[in-house]
Amino acid sequence: MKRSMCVLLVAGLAQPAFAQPGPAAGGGPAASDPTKPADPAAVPAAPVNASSDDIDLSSLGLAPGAPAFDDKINIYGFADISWANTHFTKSSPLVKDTTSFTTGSLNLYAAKNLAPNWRSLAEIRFMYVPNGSTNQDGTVQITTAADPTNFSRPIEWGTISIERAYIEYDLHPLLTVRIGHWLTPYGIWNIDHGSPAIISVFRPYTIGEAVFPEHQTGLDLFGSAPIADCKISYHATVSNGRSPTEMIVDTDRKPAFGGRLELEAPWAGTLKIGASAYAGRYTGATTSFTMPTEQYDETALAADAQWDHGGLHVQAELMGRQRSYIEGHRPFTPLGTLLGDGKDIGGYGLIGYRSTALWNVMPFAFYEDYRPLVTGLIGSVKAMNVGLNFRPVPTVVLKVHGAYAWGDGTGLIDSKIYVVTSQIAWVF
Amino acid sequence: MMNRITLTLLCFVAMAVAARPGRADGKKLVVVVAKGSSLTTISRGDLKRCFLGEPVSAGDKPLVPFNAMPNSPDRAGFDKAVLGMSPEEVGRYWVDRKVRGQSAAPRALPSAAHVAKVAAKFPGAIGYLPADQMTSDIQAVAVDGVPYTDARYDIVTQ
Repeated sequence: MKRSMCVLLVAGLAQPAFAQPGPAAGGGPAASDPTKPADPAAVPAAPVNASSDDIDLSSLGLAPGAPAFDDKINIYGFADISWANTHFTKSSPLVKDTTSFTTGSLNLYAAKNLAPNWRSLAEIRFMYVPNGSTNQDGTVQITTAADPTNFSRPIEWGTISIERAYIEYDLHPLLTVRIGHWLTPYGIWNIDHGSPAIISVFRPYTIGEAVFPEHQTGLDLFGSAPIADCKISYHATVSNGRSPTEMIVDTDRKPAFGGRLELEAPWAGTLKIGASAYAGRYTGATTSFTMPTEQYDETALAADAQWDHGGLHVQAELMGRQRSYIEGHRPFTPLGTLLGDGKDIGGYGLIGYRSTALWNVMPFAFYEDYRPLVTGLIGSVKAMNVGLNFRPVPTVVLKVHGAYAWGDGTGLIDSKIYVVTSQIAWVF
Repeated sequence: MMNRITLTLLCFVAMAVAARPGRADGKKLVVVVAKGSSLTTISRGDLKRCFLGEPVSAGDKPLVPFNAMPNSPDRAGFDKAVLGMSPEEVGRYWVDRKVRGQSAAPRALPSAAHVAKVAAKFPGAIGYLPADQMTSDIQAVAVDGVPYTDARYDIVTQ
């Protein structure tokens, strides 16, 4: 009996040893003693394989004289469609419950390596608006035109937004110069602005409120360097600053400056921590000669952290800015008083876990708190969000998201808000 | 009675251990560059950065990475051992980078023979292939100083 047990145990325990990888196939030399330090120069002669002379590299665009970069233009993009039900616990003439499907983003990218060390990227968002957008007085804009290709039948036109358009040059392995219209390098979800890369259906309210400008036009100097197992990245920016027309003119002729530092370390997974800053003058557009043009100096600071450990994903962003108005250029609040100087502060924390089951589902939850200088419609906002993010294939994302938001009662809308929404986003 | 129970339990333990999946019987994947290159060893960190789309140079020459085809045993093994990612994670990584406007994935070549040829002829090319696919005009690159002939070398096909 005891002998049988021993035979069974030995057989069972010995089996995995036969599954270990053997020496390199093809008659490779025997493995060296793993207890001795390896000598890279001691790599023995490799077994010579049959020649691959019949492979024509030029047919792959890889002839030895070919450029050492992909010089073809790459056209790609992403799109999303959402369904949302929004419910306000208190009715108001300013807001109403809605239940809608919405075609959200349709963004097209054109990327090209122009020459060694020169690259270009343009990102265009196609939109249905202004058709269907609501004016401040509650009326709706309609952009109907006669379609000359269809017996002048009515057609609604939309427009585009140039999200990014820039050229980059690698001046040095540690320095790349970017000039053009770019996304402000701060935090996590201002750069991950595309719906397929964003875990939830919508970004935290704080991010959408643009405590930092979402875009800027000017110079962005950036680079990164490995230090031991870590990577340090930086950005230094100078731009037209924030304004409704910043992409074509610096109205106040005062450049804005910004920067970012980021550390990426392989600590218990991958940890990224970053800090960003921005300082500049905002100058509004003169739309009426009877109203003062809004103008203020702003200084914004932000910190962010992201940690991935296996399927676990944790991220958080905290940001704030000080607004100091130029006398004679203060706007009126929605309550009719002149706006004072002050701070906008916000942040959120998100946790999620990416499983390999159920279309790689990631259950997630995040909490946010936003305290604006201008209380406006909703005042301070706190929100709890939960949802599921499915990624059946890398290029398709399905999301289900529920949110409960409540304000502090100082805004014009004193209501709690429930949102149930879902989205499909894809990259093409 | 007690002995029978003990024996039965031990049998289950032995069967469970026997049924435990062992390490895949993978071939070693050799990191290769052109014969005569000054690159004889590379850190795993640099190799990872290079195949994650970040600029990495050998001397003053930028390295140009070439991958095996997605879903091939070579690609799955390299991605797991060097990038620490499953095929699904790698797919998501490159799609998310595209949305951010960052560089695209290294070009994938259709066979190990193509990798060998490109590594031998294309300036700055670096790739990987099974050890039995080595040719005379490419050289193996040790990873963290460990040559592929060393028992500690762990980059294998899946």
